Amino acid sequence: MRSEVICWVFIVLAFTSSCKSRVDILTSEKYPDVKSSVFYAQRFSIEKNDSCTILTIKEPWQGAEGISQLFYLVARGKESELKADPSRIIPVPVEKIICMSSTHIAMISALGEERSISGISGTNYIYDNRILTLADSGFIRDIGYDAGINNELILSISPDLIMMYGIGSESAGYISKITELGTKVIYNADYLETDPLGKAEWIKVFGALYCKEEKADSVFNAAADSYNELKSAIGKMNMVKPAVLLGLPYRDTWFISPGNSYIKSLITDAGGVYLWKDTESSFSMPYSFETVYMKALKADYWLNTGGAGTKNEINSLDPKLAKLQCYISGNIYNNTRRMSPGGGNDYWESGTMNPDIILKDIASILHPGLFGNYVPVYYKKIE
Amino acid sequence: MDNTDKSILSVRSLEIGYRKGRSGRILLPPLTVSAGSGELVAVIGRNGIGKSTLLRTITGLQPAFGGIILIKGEELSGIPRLQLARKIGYISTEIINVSNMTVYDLVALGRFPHTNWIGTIDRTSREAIDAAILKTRLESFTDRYITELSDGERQRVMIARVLAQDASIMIMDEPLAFLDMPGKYEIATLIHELAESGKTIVFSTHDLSIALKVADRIWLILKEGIIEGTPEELLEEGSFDSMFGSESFNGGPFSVSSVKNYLKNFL
Amino acid sequence: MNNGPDITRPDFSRRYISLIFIIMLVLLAVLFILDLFLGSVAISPSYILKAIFGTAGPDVETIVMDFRLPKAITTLIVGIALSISGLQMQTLFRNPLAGPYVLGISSGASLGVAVVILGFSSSIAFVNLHGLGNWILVISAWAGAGVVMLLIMYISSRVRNIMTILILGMMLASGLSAVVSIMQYFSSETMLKAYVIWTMGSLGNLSSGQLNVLVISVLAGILLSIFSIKMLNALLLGENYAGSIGLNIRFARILIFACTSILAGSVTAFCGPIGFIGIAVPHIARNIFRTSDHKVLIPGSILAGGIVMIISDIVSQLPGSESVLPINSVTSLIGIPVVIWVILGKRNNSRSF
Repeated sequence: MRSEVICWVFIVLAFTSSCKSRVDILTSEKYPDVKSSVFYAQRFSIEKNDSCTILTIKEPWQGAEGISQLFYLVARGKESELKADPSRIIPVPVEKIICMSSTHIAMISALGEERSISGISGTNYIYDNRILTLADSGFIRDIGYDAGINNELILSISPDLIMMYGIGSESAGYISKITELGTKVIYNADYLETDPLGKAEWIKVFGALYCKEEKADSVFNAAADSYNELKSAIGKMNMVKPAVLLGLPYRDTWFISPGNSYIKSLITDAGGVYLWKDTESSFSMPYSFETVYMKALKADYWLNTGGAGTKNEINSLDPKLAKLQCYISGNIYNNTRRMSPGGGNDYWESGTMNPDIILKDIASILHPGLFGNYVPVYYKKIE
Repeated sequence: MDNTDKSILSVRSLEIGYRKGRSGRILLPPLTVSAGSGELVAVIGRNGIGKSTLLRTITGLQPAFGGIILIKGEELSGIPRLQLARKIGYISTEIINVSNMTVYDLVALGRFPHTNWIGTIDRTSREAIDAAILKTRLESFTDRYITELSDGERQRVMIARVLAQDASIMIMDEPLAFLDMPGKYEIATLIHELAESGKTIVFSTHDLSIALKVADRIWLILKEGIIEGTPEELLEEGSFDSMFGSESFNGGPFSVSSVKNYLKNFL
Repeated sequence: MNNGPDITRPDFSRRYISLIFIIMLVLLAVLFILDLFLGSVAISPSYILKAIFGTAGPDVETIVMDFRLPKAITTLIVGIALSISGLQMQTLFRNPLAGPYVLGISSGASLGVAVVILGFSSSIAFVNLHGLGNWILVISAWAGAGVVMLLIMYISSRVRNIMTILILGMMLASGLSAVVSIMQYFSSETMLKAYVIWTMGSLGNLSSGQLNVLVISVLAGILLSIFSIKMLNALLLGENYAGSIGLNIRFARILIFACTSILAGSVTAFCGPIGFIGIAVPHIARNIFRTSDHKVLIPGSILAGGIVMIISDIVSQLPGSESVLPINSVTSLIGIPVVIWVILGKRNNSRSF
C-alpha cells in the first residue's frame, strides 16, 4: 500500500515538473524595468553585467500582456558558470540560427553574419540575392510555416537559436516540441513596434547575439540620425499636409491600420495626415467598405496598395475604387519597387532597417519636388 | 390464356426479381396469370415469396427480367409513364407522413397524370376528387392533416387517391396490414364495392378468411410457381395446404384439417 | 354532381394564403428600402431619397446607388436562390435538415477558391491576378460547383435509392472539405486569412457586370424551379408513389439537381457560401402558409427568403457603427433560433416528412 502511494507521488511530481518546464516559456516573469541602452523600441531591453548580457523581450506577441522573457547571453564555454534556467541561456556569438521572418535576415546580414543562417520559413520570399543563392544551394533550408513547421528538419539542423515571430499564443504551440528538446527560441517582436525607429533598433538584439554590439549600434545610429534629421527638416517646412489612404478592401471589408501603428508615424513624420490617425487598436480594424469609402474620398494620396500593381487591378477588384479622387489623379504608390522573382519584398526585409529611406520615399511622394530628382527606393507609382 | 380478350391485366411468363448491381436474382419460375375487368383478385403467398415484387413489377415500378405484361392488350413496357398512371394505380405499405398536407391535398395528388404542367386542379379534376372522397366516405375529413389520421382512415385516403387517379386497375400491396378487425373489414368492404363498380383490383394479403370471402379470384404464389383460380377451387384442390403450416401443427388447435374446415365457412 | 361545401377546399384557406402573400410582399418592399437607408455610414433619410432621385451630392449618391443598392439587390437574390434550392432538397430527400449545400456544391466551390487563393498566390494575399480580380474567384468557384454537379448527376443516374445519393453527396462534401483543410494546413497566415474571409460570405462585392450575371443565373434557376413544382408535389409521397402516379423520376432528379446547382452554385460563386438560409426559410414558409403544396411554397420561400436575408444584411451592417459582421455569422445567429421556434411551436411538426 505504501509503495503504491509513493509511486503515485512520484508520478504526480513528474507530471508537475514537466508541466512546469513547458509552461515556463509562456509564464509571466515580471521583471522590474531595467535601464537599457534602448531608446525607441518598447519591446526589448538589454542590460550588461559582469557575467552576461540580459536580453528581455517584452510582450512578445499580440495579447501577451505583462509577459516578458529573459534570456542570458553568455560567452561560449562559460554557460555552466551561470546560475539560471538552462533553457534561457544562450551561448554567444550565435553560430547557427533559424529565422522565421525575412526582416531578421536583413539585420543579420547587415552585421555580416549571413553564413549563420541555416533555416528560413519560406525561402522563396527572400529578396537578398546572396541569401537566395545560399538557399538555392541548400545551405539554407526551408522549414515551413506555422503549423506546417518541419520539426524534424529543425532538429537535424540543430540550431543555436530559432527566432520566431508570433501572431498569437498558438504559435507557441508550433514549436513546443522543439523547445521541449532543448532548442532555444526567441520571439522577435519587432513587427509589433509602433515606432519606425523602434523597429530598426532591433538590430541591437542581433548585435548582442553575435557579439557585434558596436557594429549594430553604428548601423542603427546612422539610420536614426538620418531619420531624425529628415523628420525635423520636414517639420520645419510649412507645407500643406496631404491626406493619406492605405491598403485595399477585401470583399466587403477594409482592414484599416490603426492610428497607433508605425505607418502612421511614418506618414506624420513625412508631413502627411493619415486619415485614421486618431484611432487606436492592437490589430487592423475591420471597417465596412462604405465607411472607409466616405473617408477615402478625401484622400490625396493612396499608399501601400497590397497586391495591386496596376490601376487596372484596383479597378477590377472593385470599380467603385476608381471613383476616388486619388485614383483619378493617379497619386497611387505601392511599396513594391524592390521585389524578387519569388515574391519577396525588400520593403519588409531591408526596409525595416532603413526607416530613414522609407521616410524619404514617402516624403518625396507626398511633397513632389521636395528632394529634387530623388527616386524612391522602395516605392513605385501605380500606373 | 383463354380469357385474354376479356382480361384487363394479363401476365405471361413473367420473370420477376431484383437487381443487385450487375447481377440479379430471379425469385420465381415464369408466372402466367390474368385478371378480368371488375375482378377482385387476392394475391396469397408466404412471406418473402415475392408478392410485393410481383405487384411492383405489374405496376411498372420495377423492371421484369423476362416475360410480358399486357394492360388491356398493350404491352406495359411500351406505355409511357403518364399514360400508364392513368390506367394503373398503386398502394403500398409505405406510410406517408407529410406535415401540412390535408386529406384533400393527398387525394388531389392522384390527379397528377391528368393535370397540366403546374398541377392546377380544374373542374374535371375537382369533380373526380370529390367523387373519390365521397366513395371512400371521407367527406368530413377533407381538412384534416394526414398526420392526424388513424391507420384505417389513412388507408381510405390512399384508396381515394387512387380512385381520383381514375385508373381502371388498382394494385394494392397489403392494404389490410396494420388495421384492426373492423378496419380490415371496412377496407375489404370498400374494395369489394369498388370491384363491383367495375374496377379491377389486385391486392395481396395474409388474411385468408377475408380473401376467401370477397375475392373473385386468387393468385396463389408458391415456390414452384403461381396457381390461379376461384377461392372454392383452390380450397377444394388443397392448394392452400402449404399455407396453413406444417405437419408439426397436427394434433394442436391449428391442424391443417381444422383450419381448412374453419375457412370453408368463408366461401 | 352537386357537392356540399365541406368537400371542396374551403375558400378561407385560399384567402388566408393570398393575404399572407400580400403582407409578405409589402414587408419585403419595406425591408428592401430600409436596407438602403441603413448602413455603416449614417445618412439622413432625406438625403437617401435625394440620392435615389439623383439630387444629392456625388458622394452620397455613390454610397446609395453604387454601394447599397447593388448590395440590397444581391441580398434579395441570394435569399431567394438559397431558399428555393433548400426547399427542393428538403422535398426531394424528404429530410427536414437538407439544404442547398447537402450535395457538396459549396464544398466544390470552396475547393475551387482554395486552389486559387491558397494554391497560387505567392506574396499576393488578396487575389488580383492580371486585372481579372474578382472574376477569378467567381470562375474558380463556379468550376468547382460545376464539377460537383456533374458528379451528382452521374451518381444519380447509377444509384436508385435517393437516400444513398444523399449520403454520397454528404460524403463528397466532407471529402472536399478535407482536401481544403490540407491546403490550409500548408498555407501562411495571410493566405489563410484571405480564404477564411471568403468563407464568411460577402454581399457587397459585386460589380454591376457580376450582378447582372448573378441575376440572370438566378432567374434561370427560378424558371426551372417553377417547372419543378408539380414534380416536387408528387415527390412528397416518396419516389415509389411518385412513380406510380406518373412521374418520370430520372427526369425529375436531373431537373431538380440542375436547378439547385444553378441557384446554389451561382450564389456561392459570387458571394461565398452563405449558410442556414436554405435550411431555415422553407420551414418558415411551411409554417406560415400551412401547406405542403409547392405552388404556394415556392413563391412563399421566395418572399420569406428575401425577407430573412435582408434582415440579416441589415443586422450585419451594425447600423451606426463602423464595423461590420460577416454575413454568414448573422444568418446562423438568426437562422438557428428561427428553426428552433418553428420546430417546437407547431404541433403539426413532429416530423416534417
